[in-house]
Amino acid sequence: MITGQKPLVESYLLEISSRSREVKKKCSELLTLEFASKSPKFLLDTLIKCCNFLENASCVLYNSIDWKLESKDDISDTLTLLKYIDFLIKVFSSHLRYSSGARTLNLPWGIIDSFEKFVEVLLPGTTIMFRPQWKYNYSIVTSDLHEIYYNSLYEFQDFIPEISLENKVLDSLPKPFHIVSFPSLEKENILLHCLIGHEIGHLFARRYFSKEIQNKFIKEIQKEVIEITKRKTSIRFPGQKGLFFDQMLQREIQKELKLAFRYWKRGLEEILSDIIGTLLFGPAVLFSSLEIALQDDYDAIPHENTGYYPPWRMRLREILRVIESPRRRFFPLPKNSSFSQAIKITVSKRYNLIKKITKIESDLIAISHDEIMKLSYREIKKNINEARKDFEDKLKKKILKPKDLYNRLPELIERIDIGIPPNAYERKIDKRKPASIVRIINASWFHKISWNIDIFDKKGKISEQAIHHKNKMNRLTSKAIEYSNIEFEYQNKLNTSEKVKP
Amino acid sequence: MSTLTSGEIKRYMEKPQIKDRLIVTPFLNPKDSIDPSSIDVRLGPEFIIFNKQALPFLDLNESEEKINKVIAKSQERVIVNYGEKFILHPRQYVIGGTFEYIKLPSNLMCYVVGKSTLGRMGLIIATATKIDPGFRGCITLEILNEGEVPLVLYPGMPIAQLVFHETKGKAKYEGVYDCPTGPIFPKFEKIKKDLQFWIKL
Amino acid sequence: MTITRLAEQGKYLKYAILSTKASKVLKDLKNGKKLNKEHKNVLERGANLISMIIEGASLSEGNFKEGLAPTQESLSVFGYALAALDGFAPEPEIDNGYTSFFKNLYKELRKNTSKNSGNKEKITLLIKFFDTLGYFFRREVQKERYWSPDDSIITIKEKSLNDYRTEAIS
Repeated sequence: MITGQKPLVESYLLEISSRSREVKKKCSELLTLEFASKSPKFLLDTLIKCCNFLENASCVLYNSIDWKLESKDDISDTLTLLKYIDFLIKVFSSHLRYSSGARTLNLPWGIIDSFEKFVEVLLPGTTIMFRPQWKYNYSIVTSDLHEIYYNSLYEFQDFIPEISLENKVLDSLPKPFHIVSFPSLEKENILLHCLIGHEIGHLFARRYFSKEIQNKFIKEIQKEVIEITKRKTSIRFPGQKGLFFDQMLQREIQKELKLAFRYWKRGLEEILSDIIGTLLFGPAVLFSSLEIALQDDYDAIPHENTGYYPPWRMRLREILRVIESPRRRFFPLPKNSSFSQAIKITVSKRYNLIKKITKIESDLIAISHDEIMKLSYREIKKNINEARKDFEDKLKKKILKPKDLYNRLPELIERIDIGIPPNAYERKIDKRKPASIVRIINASWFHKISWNIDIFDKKGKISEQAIHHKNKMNRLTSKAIEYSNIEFEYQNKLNTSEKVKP
Repeated sequence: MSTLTSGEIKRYMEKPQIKDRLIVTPFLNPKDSIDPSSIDVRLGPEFIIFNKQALPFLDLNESEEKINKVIAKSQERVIVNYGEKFILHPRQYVIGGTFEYIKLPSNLMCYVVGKSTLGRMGLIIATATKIDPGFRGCITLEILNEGEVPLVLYPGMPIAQLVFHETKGKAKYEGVYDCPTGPIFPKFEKIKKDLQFWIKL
Repeated sequence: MTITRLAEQGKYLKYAILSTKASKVLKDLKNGKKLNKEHKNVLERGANLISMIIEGASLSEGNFKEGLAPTQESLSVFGYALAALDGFAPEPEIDNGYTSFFKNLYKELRKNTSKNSGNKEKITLLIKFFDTLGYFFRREVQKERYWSPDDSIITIKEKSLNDYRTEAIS
């Protein structure tokens, strides 16, 4: 034993324990604050228990060292394992920010309960937690957090077998548990939050990637990738042969296969999520996706720096395909509908603009310049049709139909037009009916596209009136969603004769 | 100026043109919420509470910037989840709002009156707040516990009544509050101009 | 480390810890200690890890078999295994391809697990393998700690774990 090793290891153990206790203290403090739902508290409870578990494991590990044997290996391996424990505690401490950010005033409070229930109806038993992020992006952790934490702690079970991970450490965390993040900057921009539909789509999309599907993809492209890589490597290292070259070639093949897989999986995942979001939310997703696409390059090809996202133009094209599906054509608006002329004209214009954008195939040309990318996207094209049929089958009644959407949409749009939340159909007070979150968001989008407020004032500056109107529209939409959610609950819990479905 | 009875209230709520319609939404329980000459409204989930220790005084003569700074420092906006409690201690004053969103046509105005049940427990709601014709929004309520015991308030509980009156002639809403969806602290632009005269006198 | 990153890298953390534990158990075995049930479980899981590496190797070497279900994970893990072999000095002999090499490693480990003893030279090789494999998994997981915000703009890639290219991307 290196002289002084034992006190040093003891000192390190004390530091680990202090860090663990600090995390637990912060969790306890946060638990006294206000949250829009129970989800952030589940996470905080779990972090406390995880830290307890790791603290216990660290003590057991330390006590397992036989200092008398003076085995350098024994101490070195145990020290490495203690470092992993320390690392995990630090990781858990960084996760405090998810719950701390999810405090009531940081969230668009009015819509949180609604969306949580929406997910519960689609995927029974699934818990989601919303939180803002500084990064300008909507995202979801598609992996189950329960499973993530389980895997992280798994190897330490051996040291404290009497503490069951499932029953004593992770019991506070529902399974599955997913975190949905939205850009903090857009907290009040309720209309954009229908992109949460896309994030929910991820939870469906990932189920598509079974081992069989992945297997099939690899089988389809393996030979071509190997050939392409061999050719490229031979060009880079002409005339090279022998064992060294073969080994290097193997590594290149491994890299290229991994890259092809990444292009395929990320690209397909994003497109499938768009499709599901559109099946659930209809035209609102088309319009909100265009607004996001406008902020980016329509033809940006997948790259590590951009998270391997497919080009926006391609995404809009696929969303449009859902909107124009023969069984569910949303456009043109029905002739016999009671939409105002202004709505009919402006919404049609927007739809036609999107058609024009997606007719251009510059994104496909850009992709075709990279052989590996081209292969992956060829497979994506095949997978999309097959996957869409599968989702339509699974979602069935939850898929939005034009007839259902447009039925009384003009009534809701009329409400926003005159400054009332579009929360219900209430021409007769005894026959009132709350509107669903999907219809509310679509009504607001139709209103937004058709409003005729000049965004510039007489001095040529951005009009305060326009900004004010946009904020008002968002507030009314948020209030409508809050109201509709409460009303559905009220009617169902007070056992009225007609159970109302959201 | 006539007070609307329940039949008239219903008639106004079912007018065919939305601009002429009285809207109180969501109207969760029409049967029980319409009284002979008023509508019950519920408490909303948002409150503005005051941190007295951060507020030296509020002088309307100060610049708008300074007033806004004082307000921001001394007020806290709180949202209480449905199903959770908000405790109002004796002598505590907060600003709340109605749960319902109200739209008055141009020939109706209303008063907000407290409910006697709560009043007898010491809860004072906005002494005769007048709502102008054409108003749209959640009504801000001044809530004070004048009783001797802390009171537990729940968002969604019936808290006040609206009494409606038909106006003689139509009026256009010219208030400073445009479609508020929660309680709003007052805006002083209108008062200030007039106040200048009295301060400089 | 964000939850997203933990979701992606969490399995590597698990493998890193497993590699350290497997190495520790093998060192005990080499020193004549008897393996108990928990030790054998650790070696079992170590063997499962190697079988994943074999999957990735088979795929890379063009030996795709029907029924074999390689995943992105097995490809990745194979990449780390290659890096681990790089770290051997001297480098091991890979005469018949990587699949064959790792299959032999797998066989040795299974033998040690069931017989409670083994050839000391082979055990040393296994220890070395798990030590270096654990090191590379650990380095991957700890990458975020040393990440600089500028990297995504300048992005001059160094020779890192799974990327042998050198590119400057603006």
